[in-house]
Amino acid sequence: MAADQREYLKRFLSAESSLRGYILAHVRELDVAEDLLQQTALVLWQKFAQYDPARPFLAWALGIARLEILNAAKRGRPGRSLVEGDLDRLIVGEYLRLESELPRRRQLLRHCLKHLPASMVETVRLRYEHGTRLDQIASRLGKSLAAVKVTLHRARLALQDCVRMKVST
Amino acid sequence: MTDDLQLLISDYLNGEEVDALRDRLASDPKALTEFVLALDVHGELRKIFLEGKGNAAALKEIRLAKRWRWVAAAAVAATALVAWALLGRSTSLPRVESLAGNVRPAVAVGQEISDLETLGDGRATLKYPDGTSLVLGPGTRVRELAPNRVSLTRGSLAAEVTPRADPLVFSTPHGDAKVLGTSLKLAVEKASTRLEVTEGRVRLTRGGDAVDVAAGHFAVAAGDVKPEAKTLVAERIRRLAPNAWLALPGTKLRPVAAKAKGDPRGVMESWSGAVLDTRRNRLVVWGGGHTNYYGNEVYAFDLASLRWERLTEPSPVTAGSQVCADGTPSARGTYNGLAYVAHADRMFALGGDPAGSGPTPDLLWTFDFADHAWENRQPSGDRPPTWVGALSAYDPATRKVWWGEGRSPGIAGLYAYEVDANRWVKHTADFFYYQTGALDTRRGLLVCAGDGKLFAHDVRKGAPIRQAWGEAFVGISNPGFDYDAKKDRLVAWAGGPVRVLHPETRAWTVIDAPGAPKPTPNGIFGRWRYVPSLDVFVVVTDIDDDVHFFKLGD
Repeated sequence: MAADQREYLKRFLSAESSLRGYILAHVRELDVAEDLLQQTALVLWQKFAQYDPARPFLAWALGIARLEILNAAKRGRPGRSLVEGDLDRLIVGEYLRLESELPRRRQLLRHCLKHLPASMVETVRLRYEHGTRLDQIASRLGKSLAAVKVTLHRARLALQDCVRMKVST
Repeated sequence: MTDDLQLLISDYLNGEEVDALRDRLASDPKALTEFVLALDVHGELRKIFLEGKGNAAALKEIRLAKRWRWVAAAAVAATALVAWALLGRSTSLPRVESLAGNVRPAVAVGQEISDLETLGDGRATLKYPDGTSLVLGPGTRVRELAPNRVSLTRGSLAAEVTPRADPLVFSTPHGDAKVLGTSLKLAVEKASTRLEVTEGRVRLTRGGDAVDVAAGHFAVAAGDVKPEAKTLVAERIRRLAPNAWLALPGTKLRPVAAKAKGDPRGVMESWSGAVLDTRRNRLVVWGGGHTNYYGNEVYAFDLASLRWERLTEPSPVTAGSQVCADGTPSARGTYNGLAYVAHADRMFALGGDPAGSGPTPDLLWTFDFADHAWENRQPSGDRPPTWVGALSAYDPATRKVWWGEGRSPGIAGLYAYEVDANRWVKHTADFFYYQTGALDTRRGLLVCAGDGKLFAHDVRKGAPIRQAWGEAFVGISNPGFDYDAKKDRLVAWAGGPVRVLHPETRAWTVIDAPGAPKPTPNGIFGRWRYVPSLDVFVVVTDIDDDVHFFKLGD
């Protein structure tokens, strides 16, 4: 493998999770977001020769991701988004500000996930493993849509709280 | 973080309206930070689960598994990344890499092709410039091969698809399989197409329906049935050799067990049973009690994902009461007092041996699977006094739960709980103790076996009268005993060989196959159940042992 390929891979892997989160700020459909992440990865590689190593890779990659989101929007793919204009810049800025902190949080999240109450696991798995829509999860589990929303809400909160607690200890 | 902000973020992640959140984020830096942290958890959960996809049982031991399509997934896949990124959209047709036997049209190795048919036992391997390979089995036809499309009209093929930006679409008469980089097998039958995915992920579409099939899963496109991904392990169970046992590794209940007073082994070991929730295809276990275990939580083993789930949490115990502080029933050795009431989608629960020194549980409870809620039914009519060692069985034709009560003649009787009327009716003064009941749905017979006895009642025609069918299981109490409607046999297991009862001849056949689990010391009760969807029996004997399956031969 050539040195530039190794370099690209290293940089991309370090930015991948932030890119996914940023795309999810714009695109709520998980499968669509994943497709956009792939497309972004492809474009990043194609343009990697133009990347200025003096600049933060994440900032450059988020800019490319933003263009891919806009391109997809023109093709009618992403759906509603709250992130436009100034708010988009604020979110990018926040990702850059938290860049050094987030990897540890992600590691802790994996640990916290092991302790998620079993009653929440199936709902979370259906949502995140299969990208299943909430109404479909409700139907499959024989629950109301509201119950599924509550479960996901509580599960994410429980995970965030767990991560927050471990970060502070 | 305030609750209302949490809710706004959750709503946004769930795809709801966002105006209030937008205003908040634009004006509150702390809210913005929380939003990004929540997004990061949201995205990372997606990443974690995609990594583990196809390994549904592994949530408690999350480990890095093969990623489905992505390039950047792992450093070791670096070369795949470059190939994927550089090649992007394939622009060429496949070439013949190898041939065996006859094919049509006549082609040579190395030749670029767009149509090919293998004849008789003929086989062919085709390769795209990006490395994607197609192995055509005997009697297979592929047509209109294109850079990003393969039309499979007959036979079967196996494919190794190099990760690509544009998916490769396999089109069959019954649906499309959209491949993003993976290993798969496709087989076209007369009325269906079967897709098996051994690595990666494939989207199978038929009409307006689509399903993502992950590694270790398969799906079938056929008729009006919406395609559904199922595990290949489940398929392995379905295709288990006749009269053979299968232990499924990694299916012990212990990892999901709750922590309550006592040892959760009591969930099974303390004279407790289970029901088969046929709507969701899972074995639901509820038990404990006596001085063994005080947790009243309910467990389910999902026969599709092949994993355990704790459906409820242990309730605070109220000493000396059969009702917990939160209004749920206290833990008890459930014996054979559980039944799945299919038409109401509820578990019936009565009697047994309560946790601690509580009174005999004489309240009739149902557990609603839709909302995981218990209900004290308080039925009318001639209620059974309830004691340990009773049995129950649900008859879907009459929508009744039959209840056999015994131990001492004074309280013996055959009762029916009429579910829709919420009413008990006593039918006879028959005596039941330490038998397990199975409903022969073809004949409408409640057949009871155990503790050296075998007898039946016709519960659909007039007054049920006890028919003595002989002796069975001398010395064995509370066996596993259920009716296999497909093969029309009553099948018992209590350790060692499986015993098969012909309901017409009333003759037993003994099948002594290797691989049976160690039986639960105090009885198997309802933890041995026939699973129609898999055409096997499932049994679980110990929270520290794997779930076992037995396939009855024809």
